[in-house]
Amino acid sequence: MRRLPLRVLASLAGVMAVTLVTTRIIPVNATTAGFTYLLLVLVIAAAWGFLEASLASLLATLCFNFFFLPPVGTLTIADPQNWVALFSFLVTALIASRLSAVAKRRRQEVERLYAFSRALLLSDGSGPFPARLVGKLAEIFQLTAAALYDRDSGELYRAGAAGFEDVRDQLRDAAFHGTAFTDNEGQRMIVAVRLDAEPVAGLAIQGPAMPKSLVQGIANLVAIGLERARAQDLAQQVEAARQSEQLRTTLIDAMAHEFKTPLTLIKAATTALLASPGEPLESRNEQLTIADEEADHLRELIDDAIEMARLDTARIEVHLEISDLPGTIREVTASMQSKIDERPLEMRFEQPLPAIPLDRRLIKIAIRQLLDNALKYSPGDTPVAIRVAGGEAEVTLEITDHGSGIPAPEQAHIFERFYRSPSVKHQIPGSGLGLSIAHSILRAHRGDLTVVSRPGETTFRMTLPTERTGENH
Amino acid sequence: MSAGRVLVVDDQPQIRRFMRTTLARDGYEVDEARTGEQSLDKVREFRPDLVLLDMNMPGMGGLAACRAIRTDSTIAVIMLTVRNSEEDKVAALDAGADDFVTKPFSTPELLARIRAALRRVPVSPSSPLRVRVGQLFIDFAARTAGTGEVMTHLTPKELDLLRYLTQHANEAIPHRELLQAVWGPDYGDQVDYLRVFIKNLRRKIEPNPEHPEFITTEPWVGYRFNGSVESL
Repeated sequence: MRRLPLRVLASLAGVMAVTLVTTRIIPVNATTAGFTYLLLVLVIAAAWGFLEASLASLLATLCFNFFFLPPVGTLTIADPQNWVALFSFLVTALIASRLSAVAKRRRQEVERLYAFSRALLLSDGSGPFPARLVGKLAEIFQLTAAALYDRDSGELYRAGAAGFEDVRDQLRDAAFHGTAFTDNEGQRMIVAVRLDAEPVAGLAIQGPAMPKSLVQGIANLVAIGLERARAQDLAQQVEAARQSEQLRTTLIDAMAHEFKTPLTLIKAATTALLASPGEPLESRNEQLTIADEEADHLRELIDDAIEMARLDTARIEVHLEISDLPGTIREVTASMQSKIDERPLEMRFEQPLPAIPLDRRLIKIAIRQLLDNALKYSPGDTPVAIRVAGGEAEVTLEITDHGSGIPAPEQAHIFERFYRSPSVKHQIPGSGLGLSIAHSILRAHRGDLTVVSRPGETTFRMTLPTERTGENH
Repeated sequence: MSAGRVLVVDDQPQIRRFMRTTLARDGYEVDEARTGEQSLDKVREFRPDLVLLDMNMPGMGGLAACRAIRTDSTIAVIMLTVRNSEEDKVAALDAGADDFVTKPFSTPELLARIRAALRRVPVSPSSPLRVRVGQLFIDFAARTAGTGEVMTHLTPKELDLLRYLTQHANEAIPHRELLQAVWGPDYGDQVDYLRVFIKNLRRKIEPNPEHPEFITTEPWVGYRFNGSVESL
């Protein structure tokens, strides 16, 4: 806008230049001079606008009159036809500037629609999508206010400086019945956003006047944006459903395998007892003991499965108490004795260990997962080592096995939910949840779980902050 | 006298513990192995009459162990599995198992299966040790069959089956009769067993197993052995 005086000056200078050339340098007759002025006015109007062109027209009329129309050298117009010349200049300026302004506005509209469509497609950030959409709309089209009523959710999203409090009813009408309103005083327009001819939302905008076609274009883009957002929501829901379905089948698979062992033994022992009532006392007791132990084992497995399902879906809450880590580890190994069987277990606990706050129940679950994996994924005659070392700020627990190792590309994924290495997936039963839950448990303790693996040696390292670091939060 | 030597192969210590108690009480000599790999050594050292083999074990699984045992031995193998699926059953029998028991099992039934697997069809002294049927030679003493130049080992059940078939050559033998003759009186409905064993037999003795000429299927009835059997 600050360039307007400059442009006016340049326009007037242009007229003066034409006058100079046509009178002094290349003398021409009145008709040629008139056309030259007309051409100049046309160019100015097309390039700059009506104001510049009309001022140029006025000056051109004066010059034309003074230098070319008889009586030359005066500003009187003897012949009324000269009025026609002035009028032609002005009308040319008006029409050309209008045409150019319309073209410019069209271009701007298209540019804004393009910017808006890009914003819709690339939209990411926080908050609900319709709110972001309305914000972008107001920003790109420089509206004083914009509002969107989403028919599905019944939510009203507003953006812009003006309050726009009173549009809810009209928007709802637009969203449900497809009615449109135009309020000329407030320069406010309300249109229905349609998808396949069916209204899905109502859109209200307030600001510089816009042609209907532009508003319709905006409404169409809004419809596409809303539809896209809905498709994304749906995809997320489907993904969530798929994950929960996967959790269910995973647990069922794990149950099918793990639960059958105790069940098999209970069934085997009881059928043996039932079949031979005259069984010697010794073998009778042995079978009853097996059935009893396996019933306990079954209960543990069920508790574990429930715990895993719960930990997988719920946020993990830790109840910290100062605990003895070696004691906790011994409890885990004792409860897993039948799994450990004859496997050599090397335990090395560095003394003294700093006091560490931990949730014994959760840490036991994590240790059990790691130890179970170490036993499961390494040959039956190789040792498994458990080492605990204490430092100033943290205590580390390492569980090392001598299995075939985890290939480097898989190491990045093993803490992901349901991830199972393709190389063992079909041979060794597992849920793909254990490491992910152990990792979450350690993170909830402000600690960490990491892995170092090469063929023949895999170490999972749990890091737990000591009391001193724990106090800081 | 021992009722037989049984090798229990299972990665679950409790299962081994139970089997040892139960089988010992019934007069079997028992040894155990924790893994498929270990079972192969034990088969050589302990020389069991029967192997109770768990299908799902870490490392070398039951199927691989069964196939490995079968390469140089014809001892009876019973496979234990947690899945009662047709695929598993066929896979187990295909790998060379003589029988298949699903966990959880009832102990009396398992013991009956063990007896059936160890059971040998009584061989009358008059029955021939070697026979020839056209191009096919069967050596019952050496437990082999083939063209004479190339001879293949037969498992005990395959041998019993072939013996019964040749003894009743050119007769349609019903499924039930075959099952009870070879596996024992508790059997009769396990037609799928027969199917797998016949398939394996055909693979070993037929020139073209896809179009068998010795052992043909009698639709809805059973099987028939064709050809004139000459004692050698």
